[in-house]
Amino acid sequence: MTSHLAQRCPRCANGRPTSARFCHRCGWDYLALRPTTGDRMASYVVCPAERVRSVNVVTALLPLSTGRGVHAYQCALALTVAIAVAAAVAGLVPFAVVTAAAAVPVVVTIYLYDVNEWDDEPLPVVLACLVSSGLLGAATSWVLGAEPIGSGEVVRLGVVAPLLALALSLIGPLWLASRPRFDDMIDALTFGTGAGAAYAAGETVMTHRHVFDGPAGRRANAELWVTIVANAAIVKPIVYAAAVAIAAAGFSGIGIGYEGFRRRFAAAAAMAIAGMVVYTLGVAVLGDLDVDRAASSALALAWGLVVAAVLIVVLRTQLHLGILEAGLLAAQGRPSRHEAVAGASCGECEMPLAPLALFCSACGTSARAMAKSRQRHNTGRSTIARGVR
Amino acid sequence: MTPPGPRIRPGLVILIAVVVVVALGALGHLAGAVLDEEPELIFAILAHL
Repeated sequence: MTSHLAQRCPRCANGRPTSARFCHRCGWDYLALRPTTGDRMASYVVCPAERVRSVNVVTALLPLSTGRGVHAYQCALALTVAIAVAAAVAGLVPFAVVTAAAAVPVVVTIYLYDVNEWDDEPLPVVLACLVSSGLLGAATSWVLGAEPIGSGEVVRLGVVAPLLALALSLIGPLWLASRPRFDDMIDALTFGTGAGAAYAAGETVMTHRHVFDGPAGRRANAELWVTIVANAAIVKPIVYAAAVAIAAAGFSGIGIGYEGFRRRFAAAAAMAIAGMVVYTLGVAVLGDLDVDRAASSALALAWGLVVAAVLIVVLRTQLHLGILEAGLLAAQGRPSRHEAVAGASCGECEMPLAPLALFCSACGTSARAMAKSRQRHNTGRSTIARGVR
Repeated sequence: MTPPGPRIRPGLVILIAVVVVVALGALGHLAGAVLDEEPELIFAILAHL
């Protein structure tokens, strides 16, 4: 109970009120079970009620959604995916393929508007992340389908395709992250999410374009289409979105401005490449198994779920540790543009934020993990970015 | 003064997502049906545009 009485944070040495649960400057959890580590893995900085190692897709890929908004996005994702799967069961294959491809990109687009992630500049964000990535996904899928590149299907579909997908999906998010307006790690992560999901959508529609040509493409059994549509609706976009988001967040880095192609990006890109290749290689190998097509497709779906879960945990850990590291550096004097001013309040629990707070001292939510309009209000700035304090 | 937050109410997020996804799916299905039975109609529309 000593920590209750301490007047200074043991991690950053800033003063604190005795009633605070978390340090408002560095995010330290005063009630942490392992006080020698400041990583507070039991309390995710975006949503402190969750553990960091959780598979909640919404608080990983859409980190500015808070409170009831998280449940709304979970419901929206679940419903849109359920509509696609139900259409596949009913034999409405073209409808199912399009809804499966559109489900995640549509929800991400709504989120971008909802939290004003595009900071009142929707056009460059929509064009760079969603439209260009979707078109690149469709075009690449068409080229790879027409012109074999590797020595066999597995090399072409399992190695070349994911590497191209990652590289092409990153163009838009990296361009946006290099602009002062969008140089925050959460911005890059979210744009990576949108670009990855849009690329997956373009690839899905192009891969299954035969279903639009005539009845021949729709003769496959319902079980097969259910697994294909479930994969296209939720697993593939999440794998692509998480991988691109990991790499984009590594490029952006933790402080003001972007870090660029440095060690953090190299480590993140390696993880993203590994995730993409492991996923697509697994799907290609399982698709080649000498079993019923529906069974191999179900195995690929299960494999994709495992890879998606791992990538989501990696992304959450990267975001969590990055925000904590940035908080500690700011507490030690590095400039930050997220420090709260008088009248600021937490977007998660609505409690007042202490002056210069980077975290809510009551619930531990990061001041960066709130809607952009709330961030502007809390920091007293007309815009969060612009590369200035 | 109430601090600003998300622009869309949670229930509306769900409604918009479902309506947009269903509308896109219906367009895809319609395109499939047209390509299936009258593919020249697509080219006529494109030529008209």
